[in-house]
Amino acid sequence: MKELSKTNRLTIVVSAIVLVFIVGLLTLRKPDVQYNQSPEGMLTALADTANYLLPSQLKRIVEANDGKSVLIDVRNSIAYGQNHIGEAKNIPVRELFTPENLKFLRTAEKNNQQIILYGESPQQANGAWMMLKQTGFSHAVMVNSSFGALNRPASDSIPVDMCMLRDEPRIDTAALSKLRNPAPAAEKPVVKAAPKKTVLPAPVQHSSGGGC
Amino acid sequence: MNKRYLILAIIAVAIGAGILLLPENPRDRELSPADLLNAIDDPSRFLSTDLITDRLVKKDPSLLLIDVRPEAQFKMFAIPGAINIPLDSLLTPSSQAALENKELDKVFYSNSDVMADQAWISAKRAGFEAIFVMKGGVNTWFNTIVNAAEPSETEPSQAFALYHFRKGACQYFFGTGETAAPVTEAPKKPVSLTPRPVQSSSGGGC
Repeated sequence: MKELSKTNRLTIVVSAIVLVFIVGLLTLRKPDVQYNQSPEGMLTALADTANYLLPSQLKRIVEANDGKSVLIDVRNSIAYGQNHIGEAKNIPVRELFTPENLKFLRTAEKNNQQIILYGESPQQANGAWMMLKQTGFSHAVMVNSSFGALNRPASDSIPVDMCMLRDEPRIDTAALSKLRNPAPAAEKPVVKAAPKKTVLPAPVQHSSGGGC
Repeated sequence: MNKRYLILAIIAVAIGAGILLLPENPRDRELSPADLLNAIDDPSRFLSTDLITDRLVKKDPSLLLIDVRPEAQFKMFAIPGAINIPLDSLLTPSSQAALENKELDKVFYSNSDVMADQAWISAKRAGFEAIFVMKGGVNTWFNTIVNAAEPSETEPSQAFALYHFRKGACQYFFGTGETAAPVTEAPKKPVSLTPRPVQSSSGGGC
């Protein structure tokens, strides 16, 4: 009898521990947002030019307005309130993963809509875009331009700064070569001075001409 | 009864030893998406070109400049002292060894901001610490240091101090330009040129 009660006690303890584990596992809250792309996969996506929209492409999409895409303005709400492009929705970078924004973005993803992000600068749009791309929004693209360049009136003929759009080197190679090999510039007067001496024999020509 | 306790104890010790021997998962250091978003929203990762230049001139040993542009652009022009880790090979084992060093401030730069920031976000997600981005990239660096604009006379003295610092830094990186070596080439040409006019003139004369 004594033996039996001890066995019972042990069974109760063991089953209680198992119960705690099960309850713990069941109540473990999965985070709302999880990565679904590996870091290496993201690096490949970064090199894919299809993920970057040019201002001209964005203009075409905004004009078409066929419901195949949603436009997201990632600037702060004050800047958005002053002006924004088309029917863009304002989601500042820091509010990207709030429940209602996630719901909106997931609906768009489910409907196979392209999520287009633009910001004050391409760098600002890039942060939000990379977050979406890494967390399962495969249709997210960013506009590789600044809001200032996108928002210019059509009559403005000043060309957009292409360098900023494509992240290209803009180095004054002439200034650089002058710095690296400054000698040719300093030496030129020397070369000019030398022929002056050779010009001096020219009177020989003159005198010989007179001789004949 | 004692035997049963013993068996339970042995099982517990075996599980503990098993956990101890589990291989370390490199993903364990990974920042959660929510933390990464907060980090992205924080602009303190951006360092100015003047600050970087100052640290380069002072030969700060704790600074590691990383050029994330493709190798061809790196070879064409790079900031003196920078190493090249192209963006697509950022997470290879050899590159990670460079990022692993906790003593160094790793500063990414590209032509402008976007690529360097992409490298920063990727490295931040992988859990690397002490990483920064040089604001404006190599284009801004070149235009402020090499092509430093002289301030007008009405500007405050700080503007002049900054201008002289930039000019000095430029001389530090690229020299003042007074080298004597190429002058030795120059006299050769005039020497070979001089006989010709004399020859022709004498021929025509007589």
